[in-house]
Amino acid sequence: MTARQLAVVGVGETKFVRRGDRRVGELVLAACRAALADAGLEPADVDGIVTESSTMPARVPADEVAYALGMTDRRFTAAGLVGGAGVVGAPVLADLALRSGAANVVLSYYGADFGSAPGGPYAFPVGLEVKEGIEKPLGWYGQPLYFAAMAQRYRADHGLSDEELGAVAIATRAHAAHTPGAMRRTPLSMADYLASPVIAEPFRALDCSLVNDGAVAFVMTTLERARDLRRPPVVLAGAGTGSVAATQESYFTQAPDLPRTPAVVSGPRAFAAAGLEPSDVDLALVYDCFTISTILQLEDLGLCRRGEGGGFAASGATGPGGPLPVNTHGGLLSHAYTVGASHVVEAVRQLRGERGEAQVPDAEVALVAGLGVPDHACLLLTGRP
Amino acid sequence: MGAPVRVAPVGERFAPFWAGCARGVLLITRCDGCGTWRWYPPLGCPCGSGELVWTDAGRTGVVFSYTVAHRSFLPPGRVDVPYPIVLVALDAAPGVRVLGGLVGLGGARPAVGQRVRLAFRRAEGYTVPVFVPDS
Repeated sequence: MTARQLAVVGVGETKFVRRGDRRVGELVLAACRAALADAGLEPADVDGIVTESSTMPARVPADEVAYALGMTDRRFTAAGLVGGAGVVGAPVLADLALRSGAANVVLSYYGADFGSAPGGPYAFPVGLEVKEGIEKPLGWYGQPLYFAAMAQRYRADHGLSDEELGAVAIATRAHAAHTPGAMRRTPLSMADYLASPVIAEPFRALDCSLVNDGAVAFVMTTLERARDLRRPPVVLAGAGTGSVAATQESYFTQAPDLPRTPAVVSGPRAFAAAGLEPSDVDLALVYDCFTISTILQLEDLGLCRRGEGGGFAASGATGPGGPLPVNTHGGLLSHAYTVGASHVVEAVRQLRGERGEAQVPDAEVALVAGLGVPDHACLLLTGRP
Repeated sequence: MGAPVRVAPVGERFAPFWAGCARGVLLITRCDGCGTWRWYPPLGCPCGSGELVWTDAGRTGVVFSYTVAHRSFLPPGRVDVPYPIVLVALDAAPGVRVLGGLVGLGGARPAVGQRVRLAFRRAEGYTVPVFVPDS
């Protein structure tokens, strides 16, 4: 532990709804205020803002948030990787700012309006020429198709039953049942899963992320400063980001080692930085845009063996009370689609020990994995410094 | 039988691809310096010594993966679901994969590793590549 090591000291979320009537910036503002209140910090204490880079800089600019919050000196502003890699990777940039002295308190946020914005999540990422230029005319459009093709390839390489995919959805929902803010809390049976309508083979609706409006924020400062604040600090023990040789446009069709994810790069980097091993992880918050995403990243991060992710989930390992609880808030599948921000929040709440009946006993190390192709970010957070 | 997806392409970047389809040739980009196939066309070839040239990628390959779309996120009325879509590794263009429809299955299921042959089919105002099982 060092004095300027990053600690997450406050978290905040709005309510999540299928389609809201408030502007996404207003949702972000509410989440930021909640995170600062949780930390016991004032807007004037914040001097840095870090977001992901694909939608926030245009949709919810840092200057608008800073002004409306009442920040007085925004010394450091950065937008990092795209999508889930940028949201989960925000502490990596914040850590650089804190260690260098470029900032002392850094706020990060994500606002989702996929429920109400034109095009919904399928327009994301925005502005890619391949979509209008070639992929839509060929019928390759919508994230379910991209990840379905990854799942079919995985199935051919390793075997993967419908029930193994279903086990991920069911375990994730079982966690959400214990999470007050989760959008879907009714427990699922395998029969429910198998009866869910097919979207893109092998996916049913219950394999796919929710679509919603809502916002999340978290606030970070140095461990030294954190010791005087309201909440027990949650410390960034180590982090890794990384990418594979593909572009945002080309990833889903051309990435050399599909269906592997860039977690194969970020994961080992994070473990090395933290001086931890996969066996040290008490719970994992993994970017679960689809059930297959959880399976692939658990394998790529070394949390289970290659080719065994489906069986790992089917064994109950990732559910409540299992040896490696995964997405203990309900993830993107059952909590809300917040592009990884609620994954960070849940890690913090678990490591503070404030999750009540959903608390993972003696949780000391949480892994957070954020996918935003062709990039990935992996955090290892620890409680009880 | 018409194409299941009828959403005409927009923009100039892929115009050579569509022009190729219209005359029955699958044109994708290859570096004329190092000979490497690069798809989709990147800003430049990493070899730094050639130009990306639209090149005939041949007519046969293997299904790398696929899905069957049962629900469409495209404009209503422009798509008939369900439809299969395949990602094919072409024999003549190692290292890249191309998308296309899949026809002529005769009730069989699509399969990873299946050998396929290229054909073309008219959509509304454009022509799309489709693959046919090649036994």
